[in-house]
Amino acid sequence: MNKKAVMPLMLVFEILIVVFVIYMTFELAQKYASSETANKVNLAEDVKMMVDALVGTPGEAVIEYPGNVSKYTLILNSNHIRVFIKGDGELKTAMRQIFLPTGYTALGTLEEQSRLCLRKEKQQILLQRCS
Amino acid sequence: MNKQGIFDVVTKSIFWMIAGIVITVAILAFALIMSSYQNKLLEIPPELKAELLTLRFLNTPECFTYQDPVTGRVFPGTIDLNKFTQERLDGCYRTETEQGYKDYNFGIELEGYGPTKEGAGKILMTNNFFNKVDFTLYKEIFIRSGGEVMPTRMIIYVQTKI
Repeated sequence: MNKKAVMPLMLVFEILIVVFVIYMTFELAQKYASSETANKVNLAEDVKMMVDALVGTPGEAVIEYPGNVSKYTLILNSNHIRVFIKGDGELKTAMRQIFLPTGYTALGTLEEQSRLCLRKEKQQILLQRCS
Repeated sequence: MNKQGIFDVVTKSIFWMIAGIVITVAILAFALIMSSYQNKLLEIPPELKAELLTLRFLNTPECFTYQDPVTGRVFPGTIDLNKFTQERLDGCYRTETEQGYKDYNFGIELEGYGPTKEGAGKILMTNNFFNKVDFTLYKEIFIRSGGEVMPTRMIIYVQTKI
């Protein structure tokens, strides 16, 4: 092979590398931009804080989440709040742990409903659709 | 191919070997920066989380708050000194035994008052509190002991995680 043949080959290789790097950068940026992870984690954190606020409130109370949660499914029990999009695997589920006082229970499931409410009745915290 | 041609090809090969490593590191660094930026966006001020968690110490009769035994009325912000015990705190807020040090833990002190009954220590501590105090919250409260109600402060030492 002479130099004339090798140099265009190297040029093609260089161009391919540059294109690959640009593609990877955009792919990565797009992946982060379109990711629902941040929203799910935010929602799980918000619900956890709402539960904490309700536990620290004497008597009965209701809190409505000030946002549309119709994309998500939420499952609340006495230990965790889980937020995921239907069809997501376990790995894509945002989960936050909650610590309730003895005697308290938390439960509820909300599937693709726009309005989310947390209701405290005696020692029970219920996650439900707002009525 | 002459010597100059071979030299050019070898030079470029070496260049691309080094460039390959640099580009890989750059892409990984970019992913890391994006990831840390995302974490930054999701960050909630620890003081806010602690404020919400500690509400229960002041307002919940299942924790320390005074509740009238006759009417059942709860007096938010009024601590029943008889309830201010380690046992009560363990029932009020308890993190996981093994991994609970990663969660918020608290040391609680009533200014001028020690825990009643046990009387061993002045500060009540949640099960994974190891005296690594990240910040402290002060709450103006009333203490009810017997028939008397006295103003004081609840000092809450917050350990965010270890």
